Amino acid sequence: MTDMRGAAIRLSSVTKRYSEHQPPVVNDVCLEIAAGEFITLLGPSGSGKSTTLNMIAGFEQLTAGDILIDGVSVASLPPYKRGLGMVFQHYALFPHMTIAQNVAFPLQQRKMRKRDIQRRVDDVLDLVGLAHLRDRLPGQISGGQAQRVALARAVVFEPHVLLMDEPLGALDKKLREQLQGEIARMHRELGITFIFVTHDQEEALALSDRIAVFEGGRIEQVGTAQELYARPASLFAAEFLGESNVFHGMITERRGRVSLVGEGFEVLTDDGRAGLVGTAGVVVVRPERIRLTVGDVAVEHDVNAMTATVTHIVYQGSYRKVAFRTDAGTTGSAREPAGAESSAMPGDRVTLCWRVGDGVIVPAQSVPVVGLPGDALVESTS
Amino acid sequence: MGVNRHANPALRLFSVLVGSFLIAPILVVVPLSFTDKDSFEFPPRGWSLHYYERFFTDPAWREPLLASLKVAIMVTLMATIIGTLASFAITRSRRRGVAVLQGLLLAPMIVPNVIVALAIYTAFLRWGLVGTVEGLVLAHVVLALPFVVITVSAGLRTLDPRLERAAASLGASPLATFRLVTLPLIAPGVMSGAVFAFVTSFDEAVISLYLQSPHLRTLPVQMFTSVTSDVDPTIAAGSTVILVVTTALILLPDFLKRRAPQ
Ligand SMILES: Nc1ncnc2c1ncn2[C@@H]1O[C@H](COP(=O)(O)OP(=O)(O)O)[C@@H](O)[C@H]1O
Ligand SMILES: [Mg+2]
Repeated sequence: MTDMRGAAIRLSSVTKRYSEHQPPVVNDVCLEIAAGEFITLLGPSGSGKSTTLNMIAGFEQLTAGDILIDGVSVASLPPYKRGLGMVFQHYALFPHMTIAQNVAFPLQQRKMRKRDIQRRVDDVLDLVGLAHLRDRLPGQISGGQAQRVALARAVVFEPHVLLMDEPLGALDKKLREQLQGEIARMHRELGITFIFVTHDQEEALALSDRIAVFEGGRIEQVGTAQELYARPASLFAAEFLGESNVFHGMITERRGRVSLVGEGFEVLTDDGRAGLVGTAGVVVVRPERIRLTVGDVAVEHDVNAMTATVTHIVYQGSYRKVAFRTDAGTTGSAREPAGAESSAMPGDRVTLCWRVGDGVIVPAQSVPVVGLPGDALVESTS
Repeated sequence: MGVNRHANPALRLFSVLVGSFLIAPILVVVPLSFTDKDSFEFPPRGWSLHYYERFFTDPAWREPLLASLKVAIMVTLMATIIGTLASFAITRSRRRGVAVLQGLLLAPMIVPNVIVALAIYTAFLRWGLVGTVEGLVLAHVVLALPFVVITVSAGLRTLDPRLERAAASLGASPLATFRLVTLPLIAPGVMSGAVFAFVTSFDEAVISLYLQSPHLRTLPVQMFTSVTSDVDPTIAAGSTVILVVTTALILLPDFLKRRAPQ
C-alpha cells in the first residue's frame, strides 16, 4: 500500500437525461474535486447522486458535459478502463468466489503475478482485519464483514479514486459508525480521492472534507461542513443540513443594513447579499444561536429580539430543545445545552434573542429549474 | 422437490393415482425389453438381454441411435449458444423490438409441431436441406431454442446487475466479466437449457419423419417405423435406454446443484 495518490476530478456541466420528455435527472453539475479530497454528494433520495457517481464510474453515459480525471476527459472511456475503485450499497461481492478470490479479482484482471497477488491480498485483508475469513464464501459472512471485503477489493489495485454509493446504507447504526471510522482511516492511510454518496447528513458531516448538496439534479451548494452549516446558500441547504428557524419576508435595505421585513416583525442581519434586496427572502437562524429569556428583556445593540410562547420541550440528553411560536406566527426551536438552560416551560412567554450576525439571508425559492411551465409565468411578470 | 407430509390424504391418493396413470404405461416397456420371445407378450415369461444386444449391434437400430446422438449433440451446442446470446438480448436490451424477438423465439413451443414440420419441410425442399444432417439440426435447434431461452432468461433476470458493474469497476472487460462472473452464475440455467435441448432433439419424431431419408433416420423415426410395420421387441429395449438416459439427464442439473457448495 505504498505510493498511492489521489487524482483530481472535474465535472464540467455534467447533464443526464433519460428521456426527452422529462427534465434532466442530473442538470448542469459543475464540481472540482481536489486530489486526495474526501467529498460527499449529499441529498435526498432521487436527487441524482447515484446517477452522477455512475457517470464518473462510466456506467451511465453523459447527455452533455464532460468529466476529467487529472485533466484528461474520460467521458468516452468504458468503466473497466477508468481504473476507479467502487463500493456498492449491497456489497456486490461475487457469490461464487471466496473472499480471497474476490479480492484477487482486480489483480488478476491486471495480469499480476500469482505470488504478488497472494501477498497483496493478504496485506489488504489484514488492513481490514479479515485475514481469517479468506476462504469463506460471501454468503457465509456478515453484512459488516462483507462491506469490509468490498472495500478491500476496491482498493487492492491501488486506484487513485474510490467511489462509494451509500456503502453503509444496509448496515445497522452501530456497525455504520464503526465502518465510518474505518473509511475515515482508510482515507487517511491511502491518501486517494474519495467520492462518497449518502442521504445521511450525519454521515456526511462526520466524514467529509467537503460536501456537495444535491437537490433535483443540481448542486445547491458545495463547501466544508462548517461553511454549509454557518452560511447555507439556499433554504433547501439550510433545512437539509441541521435544523433551522426560518423567517419569511421581504428583503429591504435601510441605512446601510439589510433586514427582512415580515408580517408584524423585522429581522436585522449583517448579511451583505445586496443582490437579494427587494425580493422575497428568508432569514435562517440555527437553534443554538437563539437565547431564551422568560419575560421581557432590555434589547441590546446588534441583537434581534422577538416575543414568543413556548409550545413544548424535548429533552435530548446533552441539551434540550425548546419549541416556540412567535407572536407573529413563526414556529421554531431553540437549543439549550444541559446546565445552561433557561427556566422556560411550556406556555411561558419568552423573549428570543440572537445576534444580528447569526442570521443568514437566502432566497425564498431555490434557483428555478428552467423549462418548467410555472417559470415562464414568473419570468414574464418579473 | 419437497413433499408436504401433512397434505390431505385424499389429495395424496389422487396424486398417486394420476402419477401411476401417467407413468405405469411407460414402465410396461421395461419388463417387455427383457423378454426372450419374439412377441409383445405381457408379462414376459422368459428373460434375456437378447434385444439389448440387437439394439446396440443391428445396423437397423444402431445407425439411427448414432444419428440421433450426433444430431442431438450438435443441436445442444448450437441451441445453448444461440439461446444464451438471445437471452442476453431479450433481458438486457431496452429496444422495443425485443418483445417481438422473444415471441418469435418462443413460438415453436406453442405452434403445433405438425404445422412447424410441414412449414419446415416445404422450405427445406426448396433449399435442398431435406434428408441432410444440417437440415435436421437446424430444424431441431428451432424447437430447442425456447427451452434454452426460458431457462437462461430466468437466470439472467435474477442475476444482480451490480455484480457485472462491480466486475467492470475492478478492471474486467465485458468478455472477462461474462466468462468469470456472469456465466458461472447463470450456469445452472444454461445447464438445464442444454439438457432440455438435448432431450427435445433426441426424442423429436414429427419433423424427423418429414426430413428423413434412407441415409438419415433418427431413433424415434426408426421406432415409429418398426412399431407400425413389424413385431420387434427391440423397440422396447430402445425405449428403456431412452427412458433411462433422459431421466438421468433431466435429474443431472438438480444433482449437480445439490453437490455444489452453499
Ligand atoms: N435508468 C433510469 N431511467 C429513468 N430514470 C432513472 C433511471 N435511473 C434513475 N432514474 C431517475 O433519476 C433520478 C435520480 O436517481 P438517482 O441518481 O438514483 O438518485 P439518488 O441516488 O440521489 O437517490 C430519480 O428520479 C430516478 O427515478
Ligand atoms: Mg442512490
